[in-house]
Amino acid sequence: MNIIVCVKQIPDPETPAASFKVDEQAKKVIPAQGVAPVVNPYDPQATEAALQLRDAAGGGKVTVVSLGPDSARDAIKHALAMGCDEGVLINDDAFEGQDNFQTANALAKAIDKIGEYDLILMGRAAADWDMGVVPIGVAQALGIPAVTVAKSIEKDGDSVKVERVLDDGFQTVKAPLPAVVSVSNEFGEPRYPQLRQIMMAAKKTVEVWSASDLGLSPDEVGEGNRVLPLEALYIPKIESNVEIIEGESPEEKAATLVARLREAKLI
Amino acid sequence: MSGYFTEERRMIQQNAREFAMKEVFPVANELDHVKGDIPMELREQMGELGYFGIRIPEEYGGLGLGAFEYTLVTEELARAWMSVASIIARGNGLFGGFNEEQRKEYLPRMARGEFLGAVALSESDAGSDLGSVSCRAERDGDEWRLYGSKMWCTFADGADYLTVLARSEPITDPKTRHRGISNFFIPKERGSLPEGCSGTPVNKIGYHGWKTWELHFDGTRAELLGEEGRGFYGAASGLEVARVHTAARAIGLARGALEDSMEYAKQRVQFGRPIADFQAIRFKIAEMAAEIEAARQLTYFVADEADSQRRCDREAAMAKWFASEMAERVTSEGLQIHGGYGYTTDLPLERYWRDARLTKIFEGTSEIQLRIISDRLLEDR
Repeated sequence: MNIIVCVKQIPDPETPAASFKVDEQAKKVIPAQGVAPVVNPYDPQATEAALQLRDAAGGGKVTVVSLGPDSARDAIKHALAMGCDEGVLINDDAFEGQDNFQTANALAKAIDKIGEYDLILMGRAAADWDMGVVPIGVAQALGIPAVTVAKSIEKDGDSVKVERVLDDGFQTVKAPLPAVVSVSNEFGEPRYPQLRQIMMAAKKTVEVWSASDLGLSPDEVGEGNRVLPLEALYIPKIESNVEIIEGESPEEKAATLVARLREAKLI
Repeated sequence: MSGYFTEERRMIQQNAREFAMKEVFPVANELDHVKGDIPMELREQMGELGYFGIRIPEEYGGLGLGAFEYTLVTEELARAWMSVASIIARGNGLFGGFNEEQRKEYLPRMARGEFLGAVALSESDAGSDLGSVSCRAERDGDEWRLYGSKMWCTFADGADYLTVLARSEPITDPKTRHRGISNFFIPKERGSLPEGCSGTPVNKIGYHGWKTWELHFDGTRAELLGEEGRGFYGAASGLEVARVHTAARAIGLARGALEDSMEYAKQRVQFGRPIADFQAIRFKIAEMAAEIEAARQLTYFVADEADSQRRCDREAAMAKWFASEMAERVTSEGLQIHGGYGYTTDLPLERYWRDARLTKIFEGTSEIQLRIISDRLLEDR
């Protein structure tokens, strides 16, 4: 069974909120000083799912793909150390500032270029922007089904049986292969890379593909060609005020409180 | 990063860090207070990751890595719990004295974490001065039997074997008392003491996670390891790696104090500002960081020298001495930055401090390290 896993390197979500800054003019997030980027926490779960499915099928190949800066190689190496077979980094300055739809498009082109695949797995969302749209975007670009927020995945002949996590329970769906499945944290803990696997992964080369390697033209990529324009980027200000409601009797205080809440459109 | 770092080493360090902080640190905070043992699941997980086989050659089922990688993993584990950084030294190779047949049998099991040892060297009157051991070994046909007492045998119960230093010939001349000491091997059941051996756990102020025993041998059956009468020379060799391992443990503890202090100083507000704004705290943190980095770079140097097969006994003693003295100061300063909270058992600062105190004592006391350094500097040998 051949599986492609897409991973992303993100700013460490454990970074204290106070060290987080936004350049409102440039509409960019300024990375916290001295905090190394990490693998998106949902991605090792997707990687774990891929490795389990490959091994259950008795063979095949798991290829890791990431679109990102040079440092995103570390996220690929981490997946290789977990036991994936090959890695591809999509890396080009031309991608700077682009949105999730453009990223999904680039990933789909890379997946096409890799060629043979039965299943594409990704984390349910990246913990930086937390949008969770790339899996669906990739599926759309490839014209194959997408199943999101998977708790368990099982290959069943030419299809895949997926248990999804819903707000109020679980849902089991079946999709023909190839398909894109996004994996949720409910899937379970990913394995830690063994030293032996780390040593093998360190020796593996990660292929690097540019926008032109994927046949993407300059008018499709980058900030200037966003599908979803970014109007403004800012950290919302949370203000709190205390107002003591005065009154002669509890009834009067209650009436004033209700009036004030109505005024504030809270009730 | 310094020139020592290959991609492989960087990945080993990162992965050990993640494992230590996610899997070991919470367990340490829970079990240290109740003097609980390192859980077997954690030991097994470490075995799967390969932490007991770092320095075991590949032909014996290990990873064939060096003292440097061993040092990296040790610092990360010690950041979470010193005892867990210590238990990897119970794998990672057999003493000289084991023959090829034994190495083939035991090393692959050791690399998987299934054959870990405990060492009984010291006695109540023989610590730094191992030449004065009095535990006796008597020949019994093809076998040997041990009689006498040993002190400070950590992990005697949890280990799969013991090695014991005992006198196999009486002292005839005090000048040659280092002769006539042999090393003995006692394979045993994990979780109990061997037949003919009883023991009492020592009450320690730290280094919890495993018990440290006073052992009494009363005719315990044992196998001779290596050459009869040459045990002292076996026990006194290969100490460089043990010393960098201990230096790395001290550095891990000190780093815990630094990291926790930096986080606390940014959050703790006094006089309307985070205490990290005050020079008194900033300079403490700067000094702590500088001392840790100095110890770390010296330790890296010694590990690299050891891996390059260069003589480094003097530098190994320097690294062990400096790192352990540093760790006591730095963990104490970390506790100071935390004020009253640092002196509670609700935060791990006091654990780092208690454990750091031991690094000045075990694997050769600070005074013994200074003696080694000065001997090498002042004597023509």
